[in-house]
Amino acid sequence: MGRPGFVLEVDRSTPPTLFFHGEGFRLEPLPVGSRVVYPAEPLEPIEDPDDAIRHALLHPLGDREPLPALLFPGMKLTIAFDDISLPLPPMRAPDVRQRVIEAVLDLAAEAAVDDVVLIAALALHRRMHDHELRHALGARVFDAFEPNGLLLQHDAEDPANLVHLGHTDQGEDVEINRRAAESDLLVYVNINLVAMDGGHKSVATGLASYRSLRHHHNVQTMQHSRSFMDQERSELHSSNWRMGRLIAASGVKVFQIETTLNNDTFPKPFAFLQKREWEWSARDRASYFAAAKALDRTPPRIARSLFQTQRAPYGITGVHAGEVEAVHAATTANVYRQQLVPVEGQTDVLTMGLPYICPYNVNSIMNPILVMCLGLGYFFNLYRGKPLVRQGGVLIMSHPTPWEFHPVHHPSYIDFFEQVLSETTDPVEIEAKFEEDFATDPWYVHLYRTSHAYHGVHPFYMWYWGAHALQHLGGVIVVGGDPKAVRRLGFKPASSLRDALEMAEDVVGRDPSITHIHNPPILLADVT
Amino acid sequence: MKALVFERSLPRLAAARVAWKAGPLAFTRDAEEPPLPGPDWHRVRPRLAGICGSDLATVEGRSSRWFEPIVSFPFVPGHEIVGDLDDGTRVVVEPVLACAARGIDPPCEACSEGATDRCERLAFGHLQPGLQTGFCTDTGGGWSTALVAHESQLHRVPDGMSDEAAVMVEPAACAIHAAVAPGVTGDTVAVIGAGTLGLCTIAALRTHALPGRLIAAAKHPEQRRLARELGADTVVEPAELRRAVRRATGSMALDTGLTGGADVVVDCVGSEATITEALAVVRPAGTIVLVGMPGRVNLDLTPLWQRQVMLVGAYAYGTEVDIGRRTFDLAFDLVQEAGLERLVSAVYPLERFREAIDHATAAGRRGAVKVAFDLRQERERNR
Repeated sequence: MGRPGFVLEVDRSTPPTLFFHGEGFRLEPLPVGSRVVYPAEPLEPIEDPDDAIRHALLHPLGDREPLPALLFPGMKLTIAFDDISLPLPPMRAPDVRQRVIEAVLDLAAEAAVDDVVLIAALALHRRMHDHELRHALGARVFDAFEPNGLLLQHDAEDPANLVHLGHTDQGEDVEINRRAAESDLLVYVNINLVAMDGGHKSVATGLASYRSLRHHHNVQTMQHSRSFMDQERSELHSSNWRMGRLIAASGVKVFQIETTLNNDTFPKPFAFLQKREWEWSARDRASYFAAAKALDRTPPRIARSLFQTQRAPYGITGVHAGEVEAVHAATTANVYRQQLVPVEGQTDVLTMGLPYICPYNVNSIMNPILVMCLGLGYFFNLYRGKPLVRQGGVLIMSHPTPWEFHPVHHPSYIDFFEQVLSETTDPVEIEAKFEEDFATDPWYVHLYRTSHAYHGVHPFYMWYWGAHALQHLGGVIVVGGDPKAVRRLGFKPASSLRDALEMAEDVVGRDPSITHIHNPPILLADVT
Repeated sequence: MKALVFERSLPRLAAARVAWKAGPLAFTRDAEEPPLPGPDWHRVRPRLAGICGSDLATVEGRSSRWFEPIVSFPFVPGHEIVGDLDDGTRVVVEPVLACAARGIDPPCEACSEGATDRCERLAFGHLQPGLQTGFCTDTGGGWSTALVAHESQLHRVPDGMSDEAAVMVEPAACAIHAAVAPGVTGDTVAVIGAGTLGLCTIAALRTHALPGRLIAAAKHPEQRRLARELGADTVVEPAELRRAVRRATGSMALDTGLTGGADVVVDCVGSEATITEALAVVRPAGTIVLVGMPGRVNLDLTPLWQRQVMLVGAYAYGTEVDIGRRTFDLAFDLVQEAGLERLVSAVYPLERFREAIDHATAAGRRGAVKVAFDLRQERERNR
């Protein structure tokens, strides 16, 4: 049994603290009296995942029959699954999606179901490359479906393959993938990495169109989701739930399969990243210095591919199947079991080291907009109760923030960075003035549909993701970032943590309280 | 008199391509004042004389051999001139040395229509060859304490107008001539380059062409700031231009360029790279206007042919037929309305010509736009 997460108060004997810094890391001494929030150690994984999956399919939660009872000859079965954005980093093969889908297909074969289609639930994300699909689904499934045109990627811009199911009581359009909606059964296979994932969001977001998504992927919703990791206080969650219930009421039968992973994030060579610094052995210290030194000398492009090939040795901690809401309640409890760390009181200054990866740069480049989204969108929102940092406080994040974009994956990001952010960084103004133009730009639509590009509107969503933090914070400082790129984001560059802490004092006053969120592995601060 | 004199010397011209300071431009205190070529001529004592991109190309030995028959050596450079006549009248010189100045009567067809920019007699008449004052051995040029100018070249400066504003009239006239050129119409206009000509062109387009959206590509931060101030709607770095035009026009993109693009692209640089970029961002059947002096370039003109693009030059000024006014008259208005005197960033005495030319060469990088020689304190002009 792993030890729970906890809060360390830094004293004179505390060794320097690890900060992730893109494709690298730093050891930074924090001032005495600072707090460091550590994640829990990995939960014990399920010993026999395949057995757990089969058990979940045969013993569903909520008002759902066991999966075999829902399968019959001549039926139309669609299996949708989470895309490349989960989990982070990608997991060591076999991916849990492969295990679950193989189990579902075995049952479908036993029931003589032969109209089966797989759909990657992309929403407005980029289409996955074949090697990524092969990794997520396994060679057997990929080779059986892809060559026959039965492995699809959701296309949110294909009117012929979308169906409008109606409006919620709040007037939100609900428009999802036609094949999924018109199937006799839609099985959704999820990986629930954080509390925001899964539930009705799987179908209502993953298989939706822009027309539908814009009702909750907007500034208003993000500013009223405090945080979006806290289902009770998340407008993002509420909107998806309204949509999900309408989808169910429209007769779409969803069999939800949710899986949870422990936080065993780093493979052997980087195992020291999983440990608390004062518990590092001589070998861990040697590994750190060797890795840090080697990475310092490695050209960024090579360092990037080195990290992007890392596969996490996650263990599966739960599989639940059945009716969406009942399943998600069990899943969320499991996520909290791994990630919740109680923290007392807020801080003046919150520090964080941003790693090389976020949901939108798998096998790609962490561009400056994604740096903003990871820091102010994801890490800032990893709280329940109240933000770790007080209103008007300062966020210090460490990342190289290169002015660099993946031209195939992120074309609209480049324009957003060059054209939109050079004019304003205010999410409200950005949404009003630029969103529709980008969302309907035929070039972006073309690239989203036929290449491997995120949708034209996607950089806007990244910016909105940080809207709550932008509203809440008194300042954002990036340590070690490209100063020009950092300024374009509207933030302040600092060359060292010490400089950044001095700069923060201009905003929050002298001798501020400082808290460092030691993430990844992912933790969720339960702030009272 | 004091003057900077440009001698014809092939070895020195070749040397200038490596280091302009070794080139054929020399400072002298003992130059002869040019004699008045006829009764309608006046002596002009320069107050300010600008350094233009074409001057730099000449000094650095980069000028095209095209000019050889239409210049005469030695000459005193400088064609952006505000100065005083002997009676104290302050004037701006319109430098083109067309039929009237050359004593050619009847004038050529272009001059008879007022289009002195298209004069066919630049190498003829009673003057030595020279397309403009500043390239003709008989007239002298602005980089000195005295030159001569024909009656037809003189424009009286209004009393309230500063010398800094007046020295901007000539480049402003070039910009206006481009902005009102045939084919410069449409919703989206892109301007490449934001030195003096680029910035004046932005102001001129905003006043005369009235595009729905004006996109400017500017290399340096100060240029971007000024481009915005002078009326560009979108200002980007040069590498961002293609994406900005694509966004503005809803075009698709190929590796070689856009499928659609801007209605008009005004190239105020004239390099191989900028003309290639102009061809990549102009729409099919659109217009590219070359305002910057191009020289010898190596281009793939396939897009020009396949997309039926019109490539037009915009040289100098004359009479704008559609408006019915002399370009210089329009330029006086534009300089005052747009406050173009703000573009004069630095002035130097003639003796410090090396610093002045270095400053002008690196103007964008050093946050400057127009660099000029200041002759107002020269003893020679006040004798």
